[in-house]
Amino acid sequence: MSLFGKKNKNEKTTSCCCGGNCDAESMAKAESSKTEGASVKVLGSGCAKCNQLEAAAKAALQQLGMDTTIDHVTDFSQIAAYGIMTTPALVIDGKVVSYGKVLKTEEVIKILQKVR
Amino acid sequence: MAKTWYPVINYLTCVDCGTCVVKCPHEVYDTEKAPSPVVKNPESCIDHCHDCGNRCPVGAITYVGDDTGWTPPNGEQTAEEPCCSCGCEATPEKKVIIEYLYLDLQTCDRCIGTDNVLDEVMLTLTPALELAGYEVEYKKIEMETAELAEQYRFLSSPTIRVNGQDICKSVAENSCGCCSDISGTEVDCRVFEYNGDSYEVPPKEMLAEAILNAVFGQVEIGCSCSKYELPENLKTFYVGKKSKSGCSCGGSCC
Repeated sequence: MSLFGKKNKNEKTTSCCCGGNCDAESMAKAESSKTEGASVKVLGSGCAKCNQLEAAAKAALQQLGMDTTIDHVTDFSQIAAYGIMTTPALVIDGKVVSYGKVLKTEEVIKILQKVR
Repeated sequence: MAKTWYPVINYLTCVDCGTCVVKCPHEVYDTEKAPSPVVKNPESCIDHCHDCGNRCPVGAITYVGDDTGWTPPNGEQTAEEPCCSCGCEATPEKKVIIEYLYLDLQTCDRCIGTDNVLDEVMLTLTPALELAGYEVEYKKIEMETAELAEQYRFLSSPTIRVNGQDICKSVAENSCGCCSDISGTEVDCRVFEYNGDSYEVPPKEMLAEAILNAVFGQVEIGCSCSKYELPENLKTFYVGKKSKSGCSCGGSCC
């Protein structure tokens, strides 16, 4: 019996990740998610233009021989955290470099060359 | 109230003057990359400080964060086409597609002549159309085979189309010596009618007027979606060209 009790106790302590401090942690997470993940992100609702921008960004990264992982952020609260008013937006290394525009591949290349 | 506030550089209009990098006292920009503005410390940017944007000579700086109603004071505002979040993204595109469809540019005097005139006209019109905010696409397509001609619903050589519409309302043709030589059979090619005269090579004025009319819609050109069949005349040309291609000159002897 004592063994059962022990197991339950263990589960309890490991299952709660926030340790009663959920709010602060989730907020910190939202902030840190800006710097986490792929270094190139496309912000947008997932509409055709956002997908166009993502494709252009991917092609640009490919041409420059860079890591082609791209995050597509569709979550509005996250998009808002970037201070974006118009999508699609392009984020490189945590900074918005373009918004409200569907960039062409060569335009993304130009931007990448400038900021990197 | 957004927490975020920092400049976003439009690198397509930026002229790398370095003014923003030098003048920013908050070290927002990466001085190592100067004169090219690269935002290095976005968090040091002062909320609602528009100093770099106000100084930018080409208006290439905007900001993320709260919309303050501020617009770049300098430079031309490029028409942004925001993709609205509501899913409707039907922004009418201002695009002009000029197509030049021809049979042959090696030997045919008419095709070469028209090509040269069209080139000249496009050289003048393209900057004007671009200034008016149009994207200009200029294509030349050789109607090499009968299949290609059918695909393009090719009616008469040479054809000039603006956004898919033939600039000539009708097809008028007369015997074309060059194309007849190419195919070894009697072939008719287009003549252009302008101000009561017929031209084998269209005058510049005619092309310029026709293109502008087609773009700005002063002339309602008839619907071109009627049933299409490769004209008998062109069929003869392609058959002749094929049978003649065994000739030593590669079928391009004129």
